[in-house]
Formats: sequence, structure tokens, C-alpha cells
Amino acid sequence: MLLLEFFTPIDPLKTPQLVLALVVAFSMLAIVLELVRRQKLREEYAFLWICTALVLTTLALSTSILTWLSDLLEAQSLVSILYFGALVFLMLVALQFSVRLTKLTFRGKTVNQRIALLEAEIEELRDLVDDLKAGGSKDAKKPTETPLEIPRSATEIEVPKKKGPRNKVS
Amino acid sequence: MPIPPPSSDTSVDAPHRIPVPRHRVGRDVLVVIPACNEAGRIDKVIRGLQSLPAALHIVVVDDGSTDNTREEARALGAVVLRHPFNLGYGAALQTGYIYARRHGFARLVQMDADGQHDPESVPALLDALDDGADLVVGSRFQNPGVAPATTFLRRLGSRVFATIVTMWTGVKITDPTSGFQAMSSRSIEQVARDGFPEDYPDADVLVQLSKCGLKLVEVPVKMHPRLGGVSMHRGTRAAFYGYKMFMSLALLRVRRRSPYRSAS
Repeated sequence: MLLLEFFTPIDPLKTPQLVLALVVAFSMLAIVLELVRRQKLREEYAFLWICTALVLTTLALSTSILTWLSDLLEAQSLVSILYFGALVFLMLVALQFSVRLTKLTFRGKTVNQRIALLEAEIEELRDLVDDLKAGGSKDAKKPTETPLEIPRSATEIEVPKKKGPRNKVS
Repeated sequence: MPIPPPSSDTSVDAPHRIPVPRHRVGRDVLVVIPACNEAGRIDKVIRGLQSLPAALHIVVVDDGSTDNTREEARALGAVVLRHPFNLGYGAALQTGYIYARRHGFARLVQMDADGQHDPESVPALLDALDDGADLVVGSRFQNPGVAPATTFLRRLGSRVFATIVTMWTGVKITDPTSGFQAMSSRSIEQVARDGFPEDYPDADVLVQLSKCGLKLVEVPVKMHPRLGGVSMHRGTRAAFYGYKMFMSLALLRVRRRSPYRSAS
């Protein structure tokens, strides 16, 4: 009995308004759950969306909470309180996204910088290898006091069979 | 070839010191030039730098250019660090700073790629570094040379921030938005950290470095009107710049390190 009274829509919230709120809330819930099921939406981001839908449903169905809130805030209309409740949670969703965007921006920047630095480093090392292969000739200065033994082809890079001090891999 | 001893630096950005490439042996000054679509202008800047008596190692940070900026710079022997996307002026500068730290440069000069900053002023900046400064700001307003034409609003904004920086740091700064600067290794260490502003690093960086105990100095430099291309302070971005700088300065003292930053 008590439950029925708690969840019975009484006159202030008109039926079309109630139906609209419930349709919106359940659609939202259905879409969010479906997106999570298809793994197009992460559970952590779904959380506040689900909260929004639940708040909307609760406020729509529970006239006592809605009227209590309306009295508290001296609101003119119950509908405004209904959607205000949902709006608060939507604002939280937006804020959560802004924070996550900031995080992603920082990370994206750092990753891109690292890529730029690594690419340049690879090029530098490649040039170095080319120079060494060429025997440090051309306009370049002598790279080392004792010229390194560079294999003429890649096939010569093999594990040395004889264990000699000169072949030690440093 | 002198190979530096293994570094004891264990931070993420400096996992190792790579051998000094032969073309920069004996060059301890790094010139960082952030560039985005500056083909046809950047070559003049690099040539100007190369005609200086000082041995400079030039690094162009290509911030997502879609033109020949990269090819022009490489053809002239500059090292090009290429961002896969446009990350912003501050991020481009910082990539250069990280490069400087990784390669152990003791001095760094940063300048624009559009020809506004005259390479002839580079020695003046380096002299100020040698005199013990950690951060040298090149000011266009201390010089009778041709200052770039700006709008009234931008001049006003520049004046406001100049006043704030001067009052806050105790060093007379007339051109806080100048991107023509020189840095010591102590400054490089600070700005290479993750947390350097990505968009517009100006007045807030000056104040921050000064608060770290680094010595700021301003010297007159020669600047020209840009050779073309588009200014990054155009249209509504100037308004955003003002907002961002005020926000950044207002929260400077209470700011905390972001947990989202990389662990360097």
C-alpha cells in the first residue's frame, strides 16, 4: 500500500509529462546498456549516464520526493524540478568528459613528442651507421681512433664460432 | 668521436644519452625553431643562422606542417623533429627542450620560423647567458628597430602582462610575449618537464622560472614584420590568449602538478 502510494503519480505531474520522462529515461538506459554490451562505451563512462536515467525515473515515479524537492526549492513547477535533477547529472557527465579530455590531451601530446624525438634519433643513428659502413670517408672526420670492423653485408653478422677476444660482443 | 659517459639521469625523458652526431661536435648551442607551414620563410631563417660565426646546432620542430617546411629545413642540414599532428606552439617548443636535455646542450636559443626574429640578435642573447642569466628574453620594444605591426588590443595586452611580470619577478620586462629567448641548462631542465603550457607559454613561464630561482634578463633584439604566413594570435585566439594567461597567472601560486602528466 505504502509502496503504491509512493509510486502513484498524482495530479501535479500530468500523464504526458510522466510518460515523456519515462520514455526518455528508459531509452537512455537502453542505449547506454546496448553501447556497453557492444563495447562501444566503457563502463566507467556509462556510470553517470545510468545515474541520470535512474534519477529521472525516480523523480518521475515518486511524487513524494518530487513534491518535497519542489517545496524545498519553492519551485513553480514539478516538471522543472524533474528535469533539473536530470540536468545536474548531465552536468557531471560533461565535467567528467572535460577532465578525461584534458588527460587525453596531455597523454596525446607526450606520445607525439616522443615519436618525434625517436624518429629523429633513429635517423641520426641511421646516418651514423651509414657513415661507419662507408668507413668514415668523404667529408666527415674520422669517427674513431681505431676503425671499427663493419661487416660488408648483413649476412656476415653471425655468432662467431671461434671464441676470440677480438670477436667479443661488447 | 667523443662519446659522453653513461648518464646517471634516470628520468623518463632522458633514458640514455645518444652519441653526439659528428655534425654537431663542438656545438653546444641548440637553436630551436618551432614551425608550422613556414616553407619559403624557414630557409631564410636557417641560412641567417648559418651565416653567424657561432657554431649552432639547429633543430626545427615541425608541428604538423602540410607544406615543404620539413624538406626545406632538412635540405639545409637542420635536424627536424616532426610532430605527427599539430600540437601547438608551446608543445613544439617543449619538444625542442626535451631534445636539448636528452642531448645535453648547455645553451639554447628559441626563435620563430617566420622571419620575425633576426638571427643577428642571437649573439646578444648568448652573451647575456654567458653573463650568468638563466633566461634571456629578447625584447622588440627596447630597440629602435622595426617592431612588427600589431593591433591596439594586442599592444595593450602585451603592456598589461609586461607590467604583471615586471612587478612579480622584479625584473624589468617590456616584451613578455616574445618568443625570441635564450636559456641556460638550468632553465632547460625546468621547461623540459611535462607541465610546460602547450598553447601559449609566455608571461606565466617567465614568472614560474623566476620563482624557481632562475635569473631573468631582458635584452634588446631586432625584429621584423613577418615574411608571410599566418600569426597564431589571430582573431578570437587573441581573446583566448588573454583569458588563458590571466587564468594561468592567477592560479600560478596554488597550482598542483597534474597526475595526468607523464612521470618525468
